[in-house]
Amino acid sequence: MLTVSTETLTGWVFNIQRFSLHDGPGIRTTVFLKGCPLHCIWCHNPEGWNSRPQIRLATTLCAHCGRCEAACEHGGHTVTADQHELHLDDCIRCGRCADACPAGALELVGGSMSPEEVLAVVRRDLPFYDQSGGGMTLSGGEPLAQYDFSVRLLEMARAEEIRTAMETTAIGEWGRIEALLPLVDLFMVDIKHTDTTRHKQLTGVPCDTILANIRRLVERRKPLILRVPFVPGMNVEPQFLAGLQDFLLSLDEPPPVELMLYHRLGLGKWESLGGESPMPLDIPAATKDDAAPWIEQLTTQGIQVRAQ
Amino acid sequence: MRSPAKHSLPNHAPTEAVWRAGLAYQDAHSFPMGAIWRAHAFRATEGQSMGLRRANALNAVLGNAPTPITPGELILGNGHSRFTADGDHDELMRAQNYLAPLAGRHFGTHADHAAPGYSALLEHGVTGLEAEVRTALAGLPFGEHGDRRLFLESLACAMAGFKTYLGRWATAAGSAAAECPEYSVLLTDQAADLQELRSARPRTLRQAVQLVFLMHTAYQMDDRYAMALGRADQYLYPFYQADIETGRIDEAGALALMEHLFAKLAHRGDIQNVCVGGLTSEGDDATNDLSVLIVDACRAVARPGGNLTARIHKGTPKRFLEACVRCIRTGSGFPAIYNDDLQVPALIARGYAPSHARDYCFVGCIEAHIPGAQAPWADSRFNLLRCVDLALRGGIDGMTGDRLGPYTAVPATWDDLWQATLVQMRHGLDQHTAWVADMEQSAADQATDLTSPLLSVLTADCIGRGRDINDGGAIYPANHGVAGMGIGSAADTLSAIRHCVFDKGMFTIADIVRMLDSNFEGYGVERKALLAAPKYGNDDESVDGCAAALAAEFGSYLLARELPGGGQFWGLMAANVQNVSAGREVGASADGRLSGEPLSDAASPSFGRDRSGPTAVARSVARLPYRLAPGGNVVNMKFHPTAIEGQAGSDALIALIRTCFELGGAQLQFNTVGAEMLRTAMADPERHGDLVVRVSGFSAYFTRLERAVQEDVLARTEHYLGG
Repeated sequence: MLTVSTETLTGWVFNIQRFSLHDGPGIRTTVFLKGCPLHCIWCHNPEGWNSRPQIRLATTLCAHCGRCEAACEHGGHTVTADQHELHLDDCIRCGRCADACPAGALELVGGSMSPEEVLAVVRRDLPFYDQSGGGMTLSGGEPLAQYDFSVRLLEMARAEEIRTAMETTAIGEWGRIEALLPLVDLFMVDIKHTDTTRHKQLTGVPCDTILANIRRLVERRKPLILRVPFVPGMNVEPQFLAGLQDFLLSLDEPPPVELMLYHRLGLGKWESLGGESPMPLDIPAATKDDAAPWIEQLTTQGIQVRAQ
Repeated sequence: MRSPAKHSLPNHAPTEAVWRAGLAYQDAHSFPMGAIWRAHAFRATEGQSMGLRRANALNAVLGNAPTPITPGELILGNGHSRFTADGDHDELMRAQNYLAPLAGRHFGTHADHAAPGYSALLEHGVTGLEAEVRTALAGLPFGEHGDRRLFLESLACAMAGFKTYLGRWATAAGSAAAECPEYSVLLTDQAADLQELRSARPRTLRQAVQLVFLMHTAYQMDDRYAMALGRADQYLYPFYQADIETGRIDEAGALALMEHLFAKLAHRGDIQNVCVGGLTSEGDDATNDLSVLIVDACRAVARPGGNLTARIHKGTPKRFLEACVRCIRTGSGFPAIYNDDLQVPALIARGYAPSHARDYCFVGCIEAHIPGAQAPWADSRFNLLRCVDLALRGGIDGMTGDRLGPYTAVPATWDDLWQATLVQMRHGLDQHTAWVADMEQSAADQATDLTSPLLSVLTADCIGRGRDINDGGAIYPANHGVAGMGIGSAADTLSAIRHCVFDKGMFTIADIVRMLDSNFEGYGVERKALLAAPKYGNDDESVDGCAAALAAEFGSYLLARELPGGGQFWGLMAANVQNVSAGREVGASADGRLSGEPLSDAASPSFGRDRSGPTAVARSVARLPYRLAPGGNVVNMKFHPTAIEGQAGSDALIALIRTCFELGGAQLQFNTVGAEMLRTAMADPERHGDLVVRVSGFSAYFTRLERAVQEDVLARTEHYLGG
């Protein structure tokens, strides 16, 4: 049994979302952990990249009062009557600007929490999990990036008979994932590309380890859903469809596949974090129709696939 | 021309056509001719008993009202109580002046908001009920010419009038059959049905629905509003079953009939409650095939009017809940879901017989009522947030400077504030209930004049006791509901002051009052601190406990008083949009609410303050002591339709409902977030801070999204809703 003991263990959490319906079966509580080794161009949770808290601005709420500018000693804000510019390179994440903001437009995304603090929230919906077959889902960011913290959360959930799921890129040493097998009831692993050069172009890292780890998860007969971001102009290309099909068919028993249709809801987050979206702004959201040829081809090969 | 189908079902007009025809009829008839007919009848009966005069007045309306038929409609009848396109306005004014002193009861004195005993109507038929009245008359002691005889005679008169009304519709259907070859078979059948109903009990489902609906319209023509159909799936089921067994009808035919019923109910801009599911009076599961069909019919018609309530309990079958979710997903807001496992014991605790308690239904929107055994409901509104405001200001109204409550000292501790709030609330309730009791007493003093003959016929045990429904005839007397408005706002306000003043010492009470008086002008940061204090609806025990304690004090204080007629004062956590006007009566409050903004609605959290999702709302609302507010309760939840789509979405919503009820929730109703709501949220983000956009692996509060992304969500919503 794997144990991570330290009473001082804490993790960086950027959201705990109760009543999550799309991150595993039933009614779930999804714990979003900060920090991710992949930097996918289309990422809709860019606040999950950095492992530390970040200032985020909701421009629609900003009243342009300028109090944040006055409160910040590091020149993080320039506020005019119709503009609010962020310059967060020197930001020390003190949160004073957010405290000073009367409109609630600024917030510090991400906070340090103990496993017990997280479980205290997760535990609240126990009766809903029991009624619906739900539980806790670790997501991110990348939960493996805060490995000890994730392990501790999973152990505690397991001890309280709360079902667990993990949304992960499955990147990293197999041994670390293997150690999680007894603690996770369902893995949801992304495949963003099967060609490692393309994968590196799109996400910043190669995909060999990821694919190898998926293969091992399948061999260990672990309940697994493969999630394929379906992003036109990025990974929607014949080469990937063919590679994906080959990879799936090379597995003993191909797990069910969910095509995650690209949506544009995350685009504004970049600016609100003081950055710029790496994703071109003119790419439209993908539709079920767009994904139909992929679904048809994979289905013909006997693979269980759906789009969401 | 080819003869139409041999069977009268399911050859029928489209539901939409039935609805449109009803609406067109209403648009073309705006003159309240009924007043002239009634005045004429009252004049002709001067000197007779008031009961008889009232019965005759209604009969004059039933005898003269137009009988418009849309060929192909499966149910005939029209409850619109304005009868002509125009008329003599001078004559109308004379009639209204003449009628003014003869006015019957109104909502406040228990005129309507009742569910008549339609099961008795179907079981005995018109003639059976007439015979009951005759038997009761015959049983009176020889030579008794007092109130009981006069009352029973008025019932006989009312039934005779209703029979005439049935006959007029039979004639109208016969004439329409001759004029409309396309539906002549249906109309001929309908004419025969109506003739038969004059002298025999109903045999078929169509006859049963027809009889109930015409009686329902007769009450509407008597100027009664919010009359409920009660437990339609229960009293209609034997007829459905018999029709199915004999092959007279199939499921599609029964569904069509129910759809036409809902299309008919949608004509009037009136709330007509229909209750399905729940327990039988013996305590078994009452859900049947018709319960599901009625929900499906409500979904198909998708128009307000038939106010559908689904009663559920631990043993409610999933297929019924799935039908409910299908209907909820359309965004109609129906059905409202009620928890039998809570409501039935709450009624038993108030002295209702278990068999009656299990047979409860709703009248109006959500008011609990025993169908066919109880006098009509009345209710009024009470502003809970104002009690907190008075507690901060020693009984002086912050809006007007008038003294509204007793002097209470400036609170120095949390306990002071709590006690002062209770003092102000009890004082307010004393005044409020005294005002209600006065009104009730003056109606009780004229009880033998203010009778409701036709409604008494269908209320046990008016015939047996020889007494009017509001004069001791009904098994259960009328209750008066007091809607406690703004429980969420009041709890949030108390909690914010406890948190920021007494726990953290950030401000003094004087600071708070200054902020409120300036409507937070220049106190933006301070207001944010108050907004950040725990808010009801986020599964926070401290503030939820505050709401629960206030609701308990409110509910039990009311339950301790009795009405002049023997009924009870019942608290409700409901508002029926009056929370908006009540909000205008209270200046800014320490929960961060600005002056004049609406109070929290019913038992729901304040707008936009529930930021922790539906399970947290469910846990919070389940903490209120609904047993002490047995009158009725409402919790509004909203979902983006995509959040509850598909089997998984349906399962999740059902699990949410079941768990909320297991935890002690009383009621849930659901709105879907539509494009309009999103536009409002873009304009007014603060009151919509709870709107969450949920997509796999992604979530964000709608109001925090960039404008372009908000537009994108809006477009997706419109696409999804086909709008």
